Amino acid sequence: MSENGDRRNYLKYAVSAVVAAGVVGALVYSSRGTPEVVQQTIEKTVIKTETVAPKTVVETQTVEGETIVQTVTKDAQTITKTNVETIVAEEEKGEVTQPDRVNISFRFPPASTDPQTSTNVADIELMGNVYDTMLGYVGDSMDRGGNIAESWDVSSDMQTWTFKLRKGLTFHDGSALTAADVAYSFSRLARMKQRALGLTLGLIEADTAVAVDSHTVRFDLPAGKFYPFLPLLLTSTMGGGIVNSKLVEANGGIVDGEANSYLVDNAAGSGPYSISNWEKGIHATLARFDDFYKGPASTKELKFHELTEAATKIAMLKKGDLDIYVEFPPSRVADVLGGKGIVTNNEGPANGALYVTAMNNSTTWAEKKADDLGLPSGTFKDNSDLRLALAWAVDYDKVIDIVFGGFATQAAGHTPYGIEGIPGQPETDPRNVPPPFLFKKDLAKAKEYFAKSGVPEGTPWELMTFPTDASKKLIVVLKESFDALGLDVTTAVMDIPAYVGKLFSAGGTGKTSEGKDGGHFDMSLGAHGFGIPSAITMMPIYQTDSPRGYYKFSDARLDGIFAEIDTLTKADDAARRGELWNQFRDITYTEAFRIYLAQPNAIWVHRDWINDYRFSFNRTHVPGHMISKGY
Amino acid sequence: MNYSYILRRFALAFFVILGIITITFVLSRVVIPGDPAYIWAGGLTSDAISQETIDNITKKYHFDEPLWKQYFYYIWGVFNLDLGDSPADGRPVTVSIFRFLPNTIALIITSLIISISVGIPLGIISAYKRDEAVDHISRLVALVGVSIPAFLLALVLQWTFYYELSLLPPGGILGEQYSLTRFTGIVPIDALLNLNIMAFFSSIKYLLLPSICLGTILMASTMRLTRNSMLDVLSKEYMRTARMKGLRERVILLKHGLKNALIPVITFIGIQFAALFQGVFVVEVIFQYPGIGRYTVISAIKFFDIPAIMAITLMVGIMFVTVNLIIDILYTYLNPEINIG
Repeated sequence: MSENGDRRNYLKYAVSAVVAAGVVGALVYSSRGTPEVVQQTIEKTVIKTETVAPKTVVETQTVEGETIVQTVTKDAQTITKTNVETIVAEEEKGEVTQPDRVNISFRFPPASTDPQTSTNVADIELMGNVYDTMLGYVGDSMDRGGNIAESWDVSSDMQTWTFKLRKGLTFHDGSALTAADVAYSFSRLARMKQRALGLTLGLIEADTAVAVDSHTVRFDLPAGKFYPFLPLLLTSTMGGGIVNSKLVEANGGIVDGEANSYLVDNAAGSGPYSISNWEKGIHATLARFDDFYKGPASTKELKFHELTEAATKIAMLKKGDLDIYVEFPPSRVADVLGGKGIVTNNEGPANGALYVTAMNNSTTWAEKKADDLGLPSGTFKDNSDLRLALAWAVDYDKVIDIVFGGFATQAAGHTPYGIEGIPGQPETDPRNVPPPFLFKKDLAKAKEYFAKSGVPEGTPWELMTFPTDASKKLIVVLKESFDALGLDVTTAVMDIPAYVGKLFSAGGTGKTSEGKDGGHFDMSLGAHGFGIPSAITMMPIYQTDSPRGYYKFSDARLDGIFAEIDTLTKADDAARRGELWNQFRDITYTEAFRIYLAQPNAIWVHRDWINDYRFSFNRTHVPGHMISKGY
Repeated sequence: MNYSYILRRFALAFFVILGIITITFVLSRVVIPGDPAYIWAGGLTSDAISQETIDNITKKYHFDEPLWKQYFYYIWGVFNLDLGDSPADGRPVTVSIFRFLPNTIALIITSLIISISVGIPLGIISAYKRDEAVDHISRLVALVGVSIPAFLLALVLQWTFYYELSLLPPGGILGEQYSLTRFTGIVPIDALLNLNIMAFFSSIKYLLLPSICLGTILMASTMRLTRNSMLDVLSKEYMRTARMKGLRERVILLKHGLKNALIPVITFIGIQFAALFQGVFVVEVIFQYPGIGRYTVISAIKFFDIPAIMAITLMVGIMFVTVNLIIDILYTYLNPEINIG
């Protein structure tokens, strides 16, 4: 056959193949049937800013019978309107790919399953399902009830707590959970001296917890400590997870000052799930513990995947290989909204992170900065005018709109009203209590404070942060805000080791002096957890003799509040404690000791067959047994 | 074989490794500011830190001792294969390193095989068919391979082969239905030693995307260098002589041409070993591949795990020195006439 003939045949074959593929494809597609479609809504905050141009108007006034005509020039105005917008999307219902298993993405890879060692977020996601605690939160509320403990008595001075344990509880290996295990767990917490020890705030020593009999444990707390904190510790898996003493003793036991290597990879718990397989670096599979005293969880298996790339997680979510994407980045909502089989929930302010910026307040830094600029010593130390100038200069609307895409709420301080110790408080979720007021961008007011602060215009000002998606955008907004104030701002985004180095090093001279006074930065932007446990631990930052060298606020009012709180350790003192905490919050917030920027919303993205699950970092555990309750 | 040369290379390698040990120690103790004990006690993430924990850590890691003593402890530990305990989990860092390092070795070897088995033949063909269609296409592929960043290629491969085509998994190392007894730590080899052929194929499936990604980058450079080297060799007089003698084209090309053309290529591959390691960090993270790169980026750096970071730096340095030593020895085999006295 001729060459032209060959070419014509090839063309014919190619066209036929394309047509055939098209027909087959159409047949396959059409045989899918009509997919079920559900409507889904998500709310986001939308901020619209209008600028009204300057204009000249003629105004006529009558004063005492006399008509006065004036030509008035009105300056340009910026009007900001904040609305909550509801986005509606239609999504096609997805298939259930693995009905006996829920696939969840870890936020970070876990390193250990030892509750008396670890304080890492990722470890808690694993441990929270595997270990049980003495006390726990009731349902979705902030009420505290008994888990392993069935009932308890507290002495009038709150120094002695006696717990009666539930009978018939077992660990995953079938052995009985008794008072000896509880005493053992808290003893190893004190003796091993690992990271989790810090969470006890000195309440737990090696012999604090005593097994009175097989189902009674008594806590004899050391003198001079903050006793109302004990229930919080007993609710937390971090530090308070109860381990199987027999299993641990058979695998290294307790060595003073050393971690137990067995519990790094193996759990010894009694929680609703046990670890059936853990491929470190890849995934951990948890199997349901059918003898859990609250009843077996509704889902047989939980599989936690160690995924870090958002693109990979989204791809797996869309294919059904991932069921729950924990802490979904708000900037990627558009990628999944309306996706087949995917539900996107905006659950309101999350407890996971609170973005805050604060200026360095260490003496070393303050003196060096003043000296470098030829300013009076003390210009930068405890300068409340400068702090307020910065607080009023921030463009909070831009923070919500541009940085978080509308999926955040302006933060109103570190502690909610009525924190730990107020009886009757849990009827209302503390996160919903209105703040005293919210800072708003007011450049005129900011400049007034700036003028009073004694800091000259053009002062160089370094703002540093570490590289999360939000921080990198936030620092740009803050630079713009503080430049407008009159500072000459430079920004530095650096990874953790460098960031930490600048936080702790003393005035650029090298290593910190015992970490007591230092910080080689002007202002830092960071994020930390928000919620009740952190409120207690905020005290060290705001006391004059704070161990945190780079803040070291010196305020007699706050010192007075802490001094009085330290004495209020009895049950009857709860109301007064609450009043003092509220005073503490009002002072530190309204005087901008630290500038609270935003609380990102919890965007939970999951497959549509997952119902009624709850994650709550604030409770320091993941209640895995509540996952897919409605399925 | 020039044995005195080889011995000299070994001696030099030893001193290079000693230099790496010293530099990593200086970087960790002197250059990086801040108090590791404070950070490891939870200082970065929590305000509730126990002074007892800080004191415990300071004593355990000898931070309260003079620098020269700390250096001695470190050197002594290195030569006893004790690289310190990780503050993240309290266990020797060698446990984590020996858990993850074999996976990285498997990935690098597979990537090298892909890059050499594709890059060298492509380079030969491209040189032999100079300026023809196959040459142009090969050079275009090489250009794309050299230009594209590893992370972008990884995401594209993942999206295409996992999400769109559902042919390969998005990440991991082995199908979860398989359980293997660990012999070497290198999963495909362990699968064969476990006589589990299905597990072997499963492990190859998981290894494909990350090694294609890593191998592509090196393949492109290998192909270009092979082509250039072959072109140079093909123009030599002895090649013309071989043709005139009536030898077959294949013999001329492979026996006379390739052997000489490979000398710079092999040297290049040794140098590119370092580049492969850079790619490993990114590729392992994206493909959820549990190797030393992922461990470093996700765990060690984030946790400020100085013992782990130092140990990994040391391991990588030793591997790099070893690979170059092997390359140097291979060099003498390939061209014994080279005067290296």
